[in-house]
Amino acid sequence: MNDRLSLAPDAARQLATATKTAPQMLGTTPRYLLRALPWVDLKSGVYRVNRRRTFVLGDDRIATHSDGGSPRVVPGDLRELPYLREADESLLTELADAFTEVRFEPGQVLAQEGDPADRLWIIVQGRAEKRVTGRYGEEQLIDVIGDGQFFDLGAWTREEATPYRVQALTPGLALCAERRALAALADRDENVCGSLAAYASGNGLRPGSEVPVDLTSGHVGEPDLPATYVDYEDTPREYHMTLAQTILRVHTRVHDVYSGDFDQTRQQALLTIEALRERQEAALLNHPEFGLFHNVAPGQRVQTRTGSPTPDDLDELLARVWKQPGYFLAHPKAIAAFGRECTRRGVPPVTDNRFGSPLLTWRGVPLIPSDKVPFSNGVRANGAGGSAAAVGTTEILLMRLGEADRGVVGLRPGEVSDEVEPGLSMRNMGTDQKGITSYLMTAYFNTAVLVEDAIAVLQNVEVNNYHDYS
Amino acid sequence: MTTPDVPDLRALLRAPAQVPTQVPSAVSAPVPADVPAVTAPTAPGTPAAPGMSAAPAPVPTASPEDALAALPTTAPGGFTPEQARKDVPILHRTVNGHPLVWLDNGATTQKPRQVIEALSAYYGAANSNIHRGAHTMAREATELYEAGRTAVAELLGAASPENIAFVRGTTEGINLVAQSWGRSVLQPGDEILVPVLEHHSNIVPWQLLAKETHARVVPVPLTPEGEIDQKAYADLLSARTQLVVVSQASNVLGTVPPVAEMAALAHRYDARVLVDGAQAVAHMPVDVQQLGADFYVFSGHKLFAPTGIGALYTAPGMTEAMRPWQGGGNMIESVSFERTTFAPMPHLLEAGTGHISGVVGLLAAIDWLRSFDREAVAAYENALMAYATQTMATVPGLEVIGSAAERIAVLTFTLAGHDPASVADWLDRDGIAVRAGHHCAQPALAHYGLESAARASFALYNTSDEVDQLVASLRRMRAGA
Repeated sequence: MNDRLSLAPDAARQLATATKTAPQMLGTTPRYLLRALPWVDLKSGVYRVNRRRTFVLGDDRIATHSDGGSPRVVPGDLRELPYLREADESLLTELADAFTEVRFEPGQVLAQEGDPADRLWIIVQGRAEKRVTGRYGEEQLIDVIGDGQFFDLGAWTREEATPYRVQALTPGLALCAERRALAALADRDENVCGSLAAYASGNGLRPGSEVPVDLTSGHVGEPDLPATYVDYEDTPREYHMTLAQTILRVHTRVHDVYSGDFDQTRQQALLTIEALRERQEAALLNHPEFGLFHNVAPGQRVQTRTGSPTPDDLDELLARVWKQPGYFLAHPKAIAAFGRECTRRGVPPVTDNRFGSPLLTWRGVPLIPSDKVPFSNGVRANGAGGSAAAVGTTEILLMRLGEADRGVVGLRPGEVSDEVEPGLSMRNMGTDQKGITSYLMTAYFNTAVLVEDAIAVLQNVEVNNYHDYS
Repeated sequence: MTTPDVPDLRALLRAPAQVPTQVPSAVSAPVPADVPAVTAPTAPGTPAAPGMSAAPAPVPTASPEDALAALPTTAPGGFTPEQARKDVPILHRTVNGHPLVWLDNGATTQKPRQVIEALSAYYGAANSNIHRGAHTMAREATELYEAGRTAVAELLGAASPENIAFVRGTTEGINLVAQSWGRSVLQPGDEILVPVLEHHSNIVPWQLLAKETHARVVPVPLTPEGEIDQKAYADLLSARTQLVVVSQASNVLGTVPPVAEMAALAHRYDARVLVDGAQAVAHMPVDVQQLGADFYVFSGHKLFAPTGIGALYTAPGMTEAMRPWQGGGNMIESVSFERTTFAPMPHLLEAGTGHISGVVGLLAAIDWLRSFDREAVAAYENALMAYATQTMATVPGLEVIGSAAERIAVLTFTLAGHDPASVADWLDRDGIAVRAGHHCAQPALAHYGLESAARASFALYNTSDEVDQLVASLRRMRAGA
């Protein structure tokens, strides 16, 4: 028995249509990095970055591994020491064995200015600062060093006095080697002895600096002019297209019958494109070979002074990429942490509209957020899953952009068949026996840092410090 | 592309051939650089124009000497503005006792004698409907109509006359694309990129279409100079972009954006490109294939042809997605109540009897324009623009809006202390016609914080002397005379 007086909504629904949204996707981010990067369209598959010859190499870090709870130097990584670059693995293992473990506490002085540098320190974990006494007796901070960094190679090798004082900022762990271990090595091997002598009498050429072009200037009279040429790297770095790929399957029945209002295949493709682009941004940042975080040169890595990202730290980064800095790139949590540090100091950063959104800037350089910036050494919080977990330390990147300014560029193919977006193809692979149509969806991309000083990174950024402003 | 029988038909209409206009061009080519400034004031007096009693406007007294040195020169090779002026009767009348200075070419252009006579000759000797009736007159009219189509195809560099459909004008062409192509292609969530610079007729049809299809109209911002922000444009493009519309030249700022580059980028996102050529087509040689345009529209009346006629170019690959727009005669192949089949492009888009005399006028206008060296015309207009920009800068309180690197001869300006309408009114008293208002591009003016402005837009028959008259009149207004 129906006691309603009018038509029920449920019944009315049978006659009505619905206004539908296109499928929405939580995983979609603004992908500011992809938007900010200037893209170079490659005519061929390879991008070769030709450069002037430089003195190379390494990453200015000595890696360690844990061997039954105690840290050990990875012998091969001792080639970071310039004079051991050609050394045998056996020699390196011998030197690695000479390192002993040292634990330190905050405030502990690891090396005193003026003392003989009889030990080479490798910081396994922790942070310390290098200070010198200035010309008028005042304290001056020259550097903050962190995991993997070592000191002081020059003084240790030449058996000179340590040129600065090193004081621990955090509790930590280091490995030390006595000078006599190196001397023993040199006694045994002629090559090491030779290169050691050459290093000790070194003419001050910094690793990473370019082979000089001989010039003369300001002269009078008729001196013989220097003759020169500009040498190129023998094996310039080549970047190949990398890719993100998937096969999209759409049943022909679905496409044929349910494509009213929305073309099902197109909507599926649009969502797949979103996912491919997200993966692309993650790869551009984190790929072990070409990812931007893995292509920061020695000398371009800055440690935070106190852990939290402060205005001073970002200024330090700006000093590394002082030639036309383009964008900071950081995890949203790191940007929030930086905002808190600014609030605490009463220097609210200016916001600027870029890409249609307000972005925080520091010294006029926008900080673009990306949730693909990794956290390291993090202990996963309980039940943490998804993007909310922000435990451990993260990094803040600063980069200069564009081929013209010798900055960072994105690479993509100039033309791909079946292109639906630049560098992204959607190729029909045919319909199978089950009536399912497959589309091969491929995004081709890469990124290149044209010269080392185009990019710098602030490391060991902690994002979980909060202040009481009251 | 061939134009069979066309010369005969044109002879039938007694449309003035190109030959006479080319002769003086050869003669006047070596004329010295400063001739336009000297001869132009006498030009209005020579024909027997009624009411021609007023003295020529005084020469501006404070014109900078170096700007005078940069007077537009008579370009070598087949074009002088006097030659063009000679053909346009209306330029020899007076307005409010002064010889007419027509600087409202952005709104419409004045018609040469050749066009006016072609219309009269058509109705006097050749009027018939087309494509219908197996008689001589119908055949001739059809051939004339198709000759007009061929002439438009040649003017635009289209691959074939089949790519050209006649419409009433740019606005109808854009609406046709929105209704015929847009409604069959756009889905909810799709995007149409529309630069802020666009004319209302290139904004509103897309808004209407977007509302109907649940697509989105995405504005592409301008830089402070008045150019389309190319970085923002590249950023806004995505797989969701179905259409990019862009004016080849802005009617407000004169900006000429890099259409070919924008189209190439849009095509990488599989988006289509509609180019609004209303302002550009009279000022620069156009090649739709080189531009990469999928649609190109223009109005005849901005090309020295009659009002009510324009053309739509549709790239060959686009026709499949075009569905019939208006139903009626001419657009069908066969009709029955069971099944109606449609005529192939471009007739599919031309329901009913077309504006045949308009096409005849357009044909005459294209012939007239083609009797000049187009490159020389463009060079002359650039020189005139440079001269106008310099001399107008000497008027105190006058501000020219937009400073794009590439622009056609359009100067939109404001005069401090006077609203644009009163500026236009004042100039009109001196016989100078400029437009005041929002120029059907409110978003572009809003970009500069304005609601209205005055605009002087030049055509090939304008001279440096007319620029001087404009500047002198503005100075007098400024001085409170």
